[in-house]
Amino acid sequence: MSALLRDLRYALRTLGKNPGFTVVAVLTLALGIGANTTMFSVVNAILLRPLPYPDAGRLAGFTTNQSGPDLEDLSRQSRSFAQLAGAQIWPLDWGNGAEPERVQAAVVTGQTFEALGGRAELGRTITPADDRPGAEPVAVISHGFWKAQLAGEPAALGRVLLLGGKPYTVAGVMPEAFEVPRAVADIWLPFQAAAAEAAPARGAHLLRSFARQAPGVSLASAQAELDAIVGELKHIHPEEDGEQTFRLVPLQEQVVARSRPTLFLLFSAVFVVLLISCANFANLLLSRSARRSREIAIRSALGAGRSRLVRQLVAESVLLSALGGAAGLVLAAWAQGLAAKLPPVSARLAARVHLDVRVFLFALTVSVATGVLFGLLPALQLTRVKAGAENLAGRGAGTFRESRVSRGLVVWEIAVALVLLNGAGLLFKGLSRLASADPGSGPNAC
Amino acid sequence: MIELKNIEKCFVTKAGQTFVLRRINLTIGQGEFVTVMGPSGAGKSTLLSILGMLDHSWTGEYRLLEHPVHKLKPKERIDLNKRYVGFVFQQYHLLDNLTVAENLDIPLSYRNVKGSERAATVADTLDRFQIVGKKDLYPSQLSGGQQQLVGVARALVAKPKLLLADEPTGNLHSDQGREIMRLFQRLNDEGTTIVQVTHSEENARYGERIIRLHDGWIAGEETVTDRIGIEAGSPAR
Repeated sequence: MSALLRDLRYALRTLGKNPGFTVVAVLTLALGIGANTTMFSVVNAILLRPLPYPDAGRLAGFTTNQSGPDLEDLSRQSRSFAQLAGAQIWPLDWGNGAEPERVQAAVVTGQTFEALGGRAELGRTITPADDRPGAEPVAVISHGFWKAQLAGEPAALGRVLLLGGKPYTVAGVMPEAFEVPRAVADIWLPFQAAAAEAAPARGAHLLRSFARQAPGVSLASAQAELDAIVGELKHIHPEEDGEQTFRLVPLQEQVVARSRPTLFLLFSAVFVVLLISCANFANLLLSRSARRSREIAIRSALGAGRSRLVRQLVAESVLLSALGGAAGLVLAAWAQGLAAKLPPVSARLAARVHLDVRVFLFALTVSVATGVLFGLLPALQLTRVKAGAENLAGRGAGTFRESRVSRGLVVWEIAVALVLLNGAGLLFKGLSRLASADPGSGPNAC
Repeated sequence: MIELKNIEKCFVTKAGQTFVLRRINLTIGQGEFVTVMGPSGAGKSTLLSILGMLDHSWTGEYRLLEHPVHKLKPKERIDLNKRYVGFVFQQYHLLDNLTVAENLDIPLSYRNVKGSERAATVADTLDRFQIVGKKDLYPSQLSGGQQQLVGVARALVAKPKLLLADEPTGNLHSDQGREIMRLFQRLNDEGTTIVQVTHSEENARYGERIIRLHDGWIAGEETVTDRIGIEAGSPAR
């Protein structure tokens, strides 16, 4: 351990005496590690961290939409679920002036907020009592809507909003980070009140449904109970439910499923950037070989074995990559805002993108791995130098093999750069097509 | 202590084989102070590299303290080097980024000597060579003579039985050179076997025997006493 510390101390001093080389090497790595750390922070926020709900592991989603009556039946008959809920995007016109404004609203069943453990920032949430035929129509609004449209005043509670020509009383304001999975909206309305015609229709399978499993109930046993109940439902309502499937998956899986391919693609792209940075880094280390061959020859003459010399050189490259990683973290912190604007990141998810312990450990692992893997090749190359008279006199440096490795690295760089360029072109083309495609859900959609 | 039989070394180039050393047969006893002389390109430094086991590509037989070096693997030769050999170079070859004390510490650390023992040995060596005041200086802050003094101290810090010196005074002022040679003489008197390469007849007189190389061959061998007889004037020894 003390030998390693001594190696690191000497390495720090050596790098300090070569500031130009050190700065270029650190910046080269900072670019690659920073881009990867930034991308990882997005992956971490979306794919790895649990959904932002209390005890999110107990939330499961249905793979197909359900109708209101089916959900009610399931809720009444099952013992596996603490709550069963459904929601659907329900865009509405707001106001009754000459130019009503289109707002992103969503209908939700009565147990939605309870299932998600969502508590209002102001007022209250929608409860099962609000989601009954004939109940007073209420609305719960998002923090953003409250701030932007209602001036963020507490007096907004109790205010009547005219939505789709129907008055709704504002009952609560949700916190900034809250969202209903797969039904991201600014206003949530009780299903029975906003979709009075569709709500009682068993054949109207329009609710994106999810459930909170009861404590201690596994997904498999919940599914088994569900299958038994569904069998009965299909028997009673063959026309409406005969073709329906009721399959549960972890809600996290369902929410991130669509983001995963895009994130994988973006992560692959920045990984290629890291590979290019690493090749540059290795080339920088090799370029120093000629100057360091004398030092290596001296150390050999003083009794250093090859493994000892490799350890010393790798300690230097790991120190460089650690500095590169630290600079990369700074870069990643700066680029957080940029990353949050990536296509698979919703505005609310963006709030979750930040540097946490996992991101830090990722940067550390990438840094150390980079330092070891890409420092090892130049180190092995450099320590081929023997302590003979030629090398001690400084005449033995610059071998054919050294230039061959260096040329190999340049070929590697060009190859991965071409892959990156092709990938970037395809990604750009894909995104352009996506941007110009008709999603079928715009204001003019049927 | 050293026994060389038919040692040969050559480089193979497109033009053919180029011999650097030819049929070197040499015996050096323990406690001897031997000087290797000859014109540039005669193979003096190469012979020293072979003796110090820094050069592995040669043929013939080499025994060091009864160890058959020619039969050992490179790693075993490095171990033998660490146990018995210290090197002094014409260019000093101190490590620029290390202080004087750290330069002395390096050979010990490569021999896996414990930290506390290393610190004590380095302190003793600094004291013995009267360079305690320079211990925290870097090589670039020392004069040539001081750097070579550190170079000698570094070569001796691990208490080698054999000291190999390649033009140890080649880059020094004549006064500094004499100081280093007197130091060598003292070390030899204390029992260290020394083999030095030099162009200087004056430095050669500090030893007991002179081996003359020419074009890789041993061209002649004489004792310093013989030399004194040949030359007029008083030798240093």
